[in-house]
Amino acid sequence: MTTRALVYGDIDLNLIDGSAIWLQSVTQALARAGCAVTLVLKAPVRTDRLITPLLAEAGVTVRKPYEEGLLDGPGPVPALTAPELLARVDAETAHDLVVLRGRRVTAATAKHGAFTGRLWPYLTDVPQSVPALTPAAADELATIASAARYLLCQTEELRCFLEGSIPAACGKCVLLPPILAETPPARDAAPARTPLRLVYSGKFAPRWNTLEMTELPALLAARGIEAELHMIGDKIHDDPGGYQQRMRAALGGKGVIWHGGHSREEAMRLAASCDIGLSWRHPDLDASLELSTKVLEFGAVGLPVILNRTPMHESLLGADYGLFAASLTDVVDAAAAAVADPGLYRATADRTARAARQFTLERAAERLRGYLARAVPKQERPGGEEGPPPGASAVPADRLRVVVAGHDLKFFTPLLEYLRLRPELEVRLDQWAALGQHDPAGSRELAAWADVVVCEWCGPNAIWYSRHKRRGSRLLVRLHRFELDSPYPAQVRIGAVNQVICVSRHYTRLCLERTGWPEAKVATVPNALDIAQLDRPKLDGARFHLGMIGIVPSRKRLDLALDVLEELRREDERYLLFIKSGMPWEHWWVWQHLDQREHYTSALRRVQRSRLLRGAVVFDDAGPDVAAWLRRVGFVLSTSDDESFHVAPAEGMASRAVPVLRHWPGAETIYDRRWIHRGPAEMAAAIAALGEAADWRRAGDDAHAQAAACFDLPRVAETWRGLLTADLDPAAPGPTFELLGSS
Amino acid sequence: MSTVTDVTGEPDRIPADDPGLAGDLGPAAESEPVGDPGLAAERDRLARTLRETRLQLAMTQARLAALEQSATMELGRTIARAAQRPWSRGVQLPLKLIQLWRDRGSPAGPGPATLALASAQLGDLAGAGERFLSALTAPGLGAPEAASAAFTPPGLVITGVLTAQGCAALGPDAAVHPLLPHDADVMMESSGADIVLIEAAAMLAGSAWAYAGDPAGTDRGRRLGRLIAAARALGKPVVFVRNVPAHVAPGLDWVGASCDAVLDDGLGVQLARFNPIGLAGDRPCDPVYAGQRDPREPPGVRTLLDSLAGSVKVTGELPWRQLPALYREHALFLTASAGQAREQLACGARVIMLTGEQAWTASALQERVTSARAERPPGEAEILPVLHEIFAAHATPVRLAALATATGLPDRLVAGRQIAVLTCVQSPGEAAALSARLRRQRLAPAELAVAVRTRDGEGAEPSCRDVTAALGDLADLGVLITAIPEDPAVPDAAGSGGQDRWVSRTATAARSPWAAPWQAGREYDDSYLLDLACARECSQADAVGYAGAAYAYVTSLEPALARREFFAAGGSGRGLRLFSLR
Repeated sequence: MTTRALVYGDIDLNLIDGSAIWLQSVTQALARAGCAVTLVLKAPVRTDRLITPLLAEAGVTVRKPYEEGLLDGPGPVPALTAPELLARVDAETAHDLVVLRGRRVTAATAKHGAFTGRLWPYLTDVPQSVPALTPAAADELATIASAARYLLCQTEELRCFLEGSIPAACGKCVLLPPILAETPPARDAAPARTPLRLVYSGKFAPRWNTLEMTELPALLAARGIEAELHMIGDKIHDDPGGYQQRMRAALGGKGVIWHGGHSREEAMRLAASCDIGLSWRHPDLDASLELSTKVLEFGAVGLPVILNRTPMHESLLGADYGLFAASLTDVVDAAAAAVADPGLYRATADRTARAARQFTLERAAERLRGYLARAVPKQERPGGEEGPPPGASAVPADRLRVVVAGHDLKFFTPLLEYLRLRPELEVRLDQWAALGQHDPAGSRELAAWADVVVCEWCGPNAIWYSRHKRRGSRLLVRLHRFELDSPYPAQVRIGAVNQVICVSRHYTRLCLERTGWPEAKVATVPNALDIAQLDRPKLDGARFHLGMIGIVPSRKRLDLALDVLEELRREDERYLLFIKSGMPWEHWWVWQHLDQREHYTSALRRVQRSRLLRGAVVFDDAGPDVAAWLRRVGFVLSTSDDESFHVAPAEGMASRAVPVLRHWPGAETIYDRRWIHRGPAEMAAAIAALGEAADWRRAGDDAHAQAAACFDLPRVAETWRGLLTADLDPAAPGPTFELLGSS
Repeated sequence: MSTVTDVTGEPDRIPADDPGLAGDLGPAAESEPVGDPGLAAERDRLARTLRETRLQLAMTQARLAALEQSATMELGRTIARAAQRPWSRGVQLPLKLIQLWRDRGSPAGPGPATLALASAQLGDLAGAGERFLSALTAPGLGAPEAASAAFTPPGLVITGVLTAQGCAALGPDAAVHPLLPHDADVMMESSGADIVLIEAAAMLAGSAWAYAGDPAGTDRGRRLGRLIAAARALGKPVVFVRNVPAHVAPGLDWVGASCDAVLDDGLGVQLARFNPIGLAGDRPCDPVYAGQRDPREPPGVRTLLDSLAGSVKVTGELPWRQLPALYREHALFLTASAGQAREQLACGARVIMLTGEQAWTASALQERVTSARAERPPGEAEILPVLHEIFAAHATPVRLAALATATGLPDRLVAGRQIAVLTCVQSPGEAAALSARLRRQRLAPAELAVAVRTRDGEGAEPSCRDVTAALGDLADLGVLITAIPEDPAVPDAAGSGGQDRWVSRTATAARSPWAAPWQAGREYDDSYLLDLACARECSQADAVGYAGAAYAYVTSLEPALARREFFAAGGSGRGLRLFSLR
């Protein structure tokens, strides 16, 4: 069966602007990704400039609510009416995902409830700064995030802003950059011609500086450069100050050629006949978290672009791109320079062209295919290409019934979501209220139903299921760390358990030693990470920032992390330590212990008193926005006395930070010894040795590759899928390394 | 990816809602919390409630202000006025309504921005423990660079979001308490600061507030917002120092809009760091470009620097602490930054500006570099006028005084240039002549403490009154006049320490932290006070004067400018740092 996508934007496709073109592009990209796409129009069709290409696209159906009689009146569809309209369309044929654009429509649809879990909103008209995000706006976005499967973000900047502001958005934000559909042939490689043809395409509005642009022909003429300004678009901003009248008058000015509105293809063809694209805007827009599609379209047809210098544009075109402008005079200077220097013209055109190549329709379709694979249940296919991994027993014709039981599933949730998408599995949850609290009747019912039970944590849940599971069903238990020091494993009827899964070979070994369970019963599967979510560009200067995730309880050894920092700052005060963690006094069961309190009091006093540490340690908020936070971190520290796995360095590796581990017992069974050191002095030396940017970047890339190879979610999840039907080989007793002298 | 929603990011972390899992803390983990943590938590809760109340008050005030300025309110007023006085107002109504329509939605300055900020921050007050954390990690009294100013307790107390360089610049002229993101609002409350500075440069990498303006640092941005809202709720002026180009951190626009003032000129040249003390006469004149080449440099600058490749030494990135020494070690620099040029000039170097009024061609620049290389290093006669100009117009105390004025603080809080002239006169005529001479001084004194020697037959009080009247012009300029009678029976000179007796008496009566004795009958150069103050600012000495050494520390001299306490105590200079101008 084909995946069905419903697409709706609070956008009138009769008018050409960036949002209308996006709606057209995303519809095409979804179709190319293999979806059957239903595009519902907001307004009655007055011009089919944007719709015609869609009608020619295989797999696209365009629904016209007014023409089809689904709605009465002249249109367009009011935002609050849209959810009901979409629900009616969805009732005809259920859709797997609903792509929406427009905050009001999205908020209304999220509240409507009919599409919860299927929404893929594309958020643009949302607050994009700290003061703009009022509590009311945050609540609305949280509602949207809760109802969404994905939040499609145009840029990494917007994704990070949303994740940092709306906890419910974390883990759901994925990138969908601007999309360039098929582009007409590019301009030839000739230098700028005479007369110089400048081109702008898009809406005419004050902050887009379109009125000021109309002065360019005269200003360039004053410099002895004959120039024309070609303006494409028909959407003119209106305000009580008479902007529309002035803009219209200016569009008729000398040297200004107004082409009116055109389809995207025609607009790009017109642009390709010009020499330089214009995307110079009011500085108010410099902080925008969105990227102008126009810049990319100009690049795609071979034009250099004059635009504002912003961090986003620098990262797109390079800090040394030659046509940045901050004022009208700068625009004139830049245009004159491009005319006078063919080398500059060519170099800047090459830069924009190279940038545009990252945003093709095919790249967008590929991206969407990846998201679809992770979000939409896999369909049964003849030929068994989605069958179990080699070595596993055959999957029965009817679906395998799986129960996952536990009180705290935060580490199992990514695996759970993965398993739920498998067509051959039916997964149910036995959510325990607390470690030892559950609904026995419900659990009994699930035990009787399940073919396989997975107990997350080896606690009372594992004890209960080992005594109540249905004969013939499989029982898997995941043991992390604390359980080994608890009385629970001794109470588990190990004969009823098929396998116990530890996250490291070291803990597998400890488990065998302390429980005496048969070797074949204990296997090792590492923790899983969403590598793609964590892999994001590092922020400027991140290589001097050490990161630590979690400092509670004291065995995490904050004091040793301070030793590392002190050592580094003796030579270079650019090094800082960022700590993302709750604080010990927020957990009374930690804080009531005098030794714990002493540990933190002493460490924090050092932070205050040490000349080298004062002002160099920052305690950031604990929270789920780890992927965004890691962008500021160049090295992730692991200074613990004891860990079963320690996810933090693995997450850091996935983010291309360099892991720096103290040699806690078993670290070498999880991480490359390259990252493991005897103690703080060696850790500091290893960090200092990567002081050059290129070395640090190379080490981060190596770490990333290792994390992707070992911990990536699909790989680990496939191992778990196999475990549902067949035992893993017991952990081969790995080599026992001498500790590297950790103190 | 692990969903780090609680303490440690670990599979084996202690779940926040389940103390039973605190396995590695032993059985006691399941007992109730003991007293101390409970008390600390309660204290913290009350403190948080107080802060929240203040922020709510700030938001209500801002909302009220916004409402009063709103079109709706104005519309209501206009209609009400029209209804009350139909004939006089009624005819104006349509025009007024049109005006209101035109003005709708237009930006209205910091009011709405503050409202939005306060509103946004209120939803983010759930964080706990900052007060306890701050008790343990407070940055302490004074910035790391403030120790050298210990002899002159600064009047101005500054806190805020500051770089280490910013602290070093401000330290000699103010008590500086840099804040950290995790406890900024709590520390700001307890620092007793006069003013809160937010440095844009502190939001760049390498600083504790790094990325607060970046969308990937929204957590720190919210902390910054809370700090600003809390400071304004406490009535503290908040100033945004925009000392990085806007395109480097465009996400900081809202900060400027939320502050009381924006300072675009930076913190000025701190002469305690950048000064010509200890220059070698034979320092090299080979041209140096201090820093690394910037990929963002304008094409013109790039072309010029490229044309000089090989003949100009480019130092690459240098730690900021090393810059003053570098500037003093070389006699010739090229730069495209006016701020950097001033620092280099203050260090006694010649500077060729690549941008600005002089439009260079590559060949003209090469020629200028060649000729400058052949010149001797600048000497005192060339350096001091430039230094004085920087002292008068671009030094940090000038910026701070302007800042104080702009935010309604008394500029006397910038204590380093608060000088009392100590003198003795015998008649109103002599006082009038003194007034004229002091008015000609390029650096006006803050205070004039004058001993009035009464003549036979005249009472002390009438004499002082007449002298004070003769000094009226100075008083009109804001100079504080203090006249005290001098007993004619007491000999003129030979007080303790060899100084005139009136010096210690007037120093005791004066209030300014610095004092300069002034012989009423003597002619002084118009730059006399400026020379002294500039030398003191550069040297951070306790006393400056003329001991035969040019711009150098000495072991003995007769102070021409010193801390007021020095003169009041009769001139005992043991253990002081002494600096000679010539």
